[in-house]
Amino acid sequence: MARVAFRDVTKVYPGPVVALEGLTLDVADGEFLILVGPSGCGKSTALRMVAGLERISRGSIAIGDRVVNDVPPKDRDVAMVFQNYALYPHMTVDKNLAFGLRQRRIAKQEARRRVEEISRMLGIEELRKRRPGQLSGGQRQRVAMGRALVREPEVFLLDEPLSNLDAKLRVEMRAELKRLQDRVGVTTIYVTHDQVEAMTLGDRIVVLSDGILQQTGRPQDVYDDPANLFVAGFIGSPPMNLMKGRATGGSIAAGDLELPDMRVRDGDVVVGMRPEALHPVGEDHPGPGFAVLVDVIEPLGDEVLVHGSVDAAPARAGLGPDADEAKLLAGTDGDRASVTLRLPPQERPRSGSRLQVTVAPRDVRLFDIGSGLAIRPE
Amino acid sequence: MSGAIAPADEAPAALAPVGARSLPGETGMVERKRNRLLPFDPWHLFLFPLALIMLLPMVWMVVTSLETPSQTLHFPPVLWPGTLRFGNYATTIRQSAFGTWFWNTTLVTVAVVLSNLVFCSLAAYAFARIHFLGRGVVYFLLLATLMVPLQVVLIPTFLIVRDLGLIDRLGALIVPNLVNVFGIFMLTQFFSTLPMELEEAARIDGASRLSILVRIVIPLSLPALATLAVIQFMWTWNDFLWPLVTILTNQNAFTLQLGLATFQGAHQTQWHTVAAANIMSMLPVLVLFVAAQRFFVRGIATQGLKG
Repeated sequence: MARVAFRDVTKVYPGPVVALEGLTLDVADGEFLILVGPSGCGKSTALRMVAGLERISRGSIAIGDRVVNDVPPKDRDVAMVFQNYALYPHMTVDKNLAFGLRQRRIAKQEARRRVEEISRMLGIEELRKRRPGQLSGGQRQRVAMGRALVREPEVFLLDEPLSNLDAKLRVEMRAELKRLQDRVGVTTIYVTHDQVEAMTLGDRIVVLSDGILQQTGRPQDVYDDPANLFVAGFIGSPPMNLMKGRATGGSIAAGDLELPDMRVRDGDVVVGMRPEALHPVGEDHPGPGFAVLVDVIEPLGDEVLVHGSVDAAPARAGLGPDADEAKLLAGTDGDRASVTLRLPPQERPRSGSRLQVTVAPRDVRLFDIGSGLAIRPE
Repeated sequence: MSGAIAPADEAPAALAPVGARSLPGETGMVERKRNRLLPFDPWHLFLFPLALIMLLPMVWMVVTSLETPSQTLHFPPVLWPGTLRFGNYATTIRQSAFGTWFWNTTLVTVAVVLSNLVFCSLAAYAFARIHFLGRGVVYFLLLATLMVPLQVVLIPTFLIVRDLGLIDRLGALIVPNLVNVFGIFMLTQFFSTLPMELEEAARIDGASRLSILVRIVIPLSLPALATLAVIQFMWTWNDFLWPLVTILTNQNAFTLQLGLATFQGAHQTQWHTVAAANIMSMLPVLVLFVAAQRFFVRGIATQGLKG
């Protein structure tokens, strides 16, 4: 096991296209770290640079105490699970598992013992004589995990390993993966674009966008206190509701929502509220609240998602005023901000109706409208 | 299978047995009716006579090889000689150095095929996967040599081979053909289609470049290698011009094709022995074709990927 240290790591592809810019990050020994972000945010590039499959344009990566910039993949003692598994199709499961051990000239007896142990651990003993072509997606996934684990690497790298499984299997494998990592305790870097995986699996998550680190922290902390509008819009499903507001004399107004005593400087702000922070109340409720014009309701069984709009200007979940139009994560409804509520299953407001909701001031997050950064109360 | 079948019909049609194939534009109803009238695809009515026409020269050669000399010269040709004279084959072998020719040709062909498999694989892997300075230029220059006809390089190559002291030796037939640019081209194209992740996985697993080539790339490229082997085998086995130029006087270094040419005299030709020798020289190619067929199946290279 080992820690991994990124120091100002930058990757520039010919073009030039900057895939990753100035990433500085420490992964502790035995930590389960999640790199999360939308497609093209540089998370896979970061992982591949740790594996040695991509050259580092600038900066350094250290595994343990050794800077590995110029160390070939085979000498880095890392193991990787690929998104499409990349099992050797002409070899049996047994040979797939043993390939890395044989390449490292590990004694036959020892190799066999390890292959047997890992097959038992992953429940793939009865598949050992089969070839990848004869396995289901879930079985291939297990074998791919086994091939990485059997090497007993210092660092375990996973590149969206669950993204090719169907939804049910993905949930199962997610739990199994967590159990496995707890048991093996090896330093793990896990890349995903799925924020449910990000929330559930890791000790710590790192949110990337456009090759730039946005926020790092424990999953719940990142969810509760997003560092900027991008994180607010990306982490959480459905994402945080965002609308434009204005701060005057310490209180904030966004449409018919009025929040007193927010202790922020005067000016335009973005007001963010998680869907579960909004609660329906009667028209005469004394606390801060606003009216939602209900558009669509989605009953999910255990909860109901209510999509609607409010009488406030929409805000975009991007970074800064130049945020790319394509990266609009918050939906907009003309000049009305869209809003989503998460309600208990028995509550089903009718489409087209007006719903008065309230929000506790401590559940409101504020962002600077120019920089997109979170505003902490003064 | 006809390419003109509507896309919606394509999948079931591809899975259906031969007899269930349909003509372009047919509906399922018509197809079923037609199939009750004929136990096979109506196209066969057209294709079968064509196949017969293609086969006729072969049949004629086999028949000729079993006839008497006078029957071979008879007009119209005798297509059924009555008595089959298998002794013609023994006579052919006895009267000529057939054994030596056969051995020489086998030696040259096996050496050329093996060296091509080895060298073309190595070169093709480098072109397909290793980024080195001037890769594109070198590859282009190599491909350009494919555009130059043999006749143009015949004399320069002959001079080189002569300077190497290989004239009248089997080495003259082997050395210039150790690597064939076509083989490099073909394997480069195939290697490029193999999933990159397999090699990346192997690199992380600790495999060297050579180990990746030998343990991952080659086993996944058996269909391409088998194809290359068969093509190269045919070219070398049937080559006539180059042996004719380089094997001048040494009859012990004759190949089959050179030997076969000696059967045709200036004044008379023993057609029954020519036919018998031709059939015997053709057999290895035929056998190889049939044997290599099982490798010409769809590759399995993508089966380890997502399911």
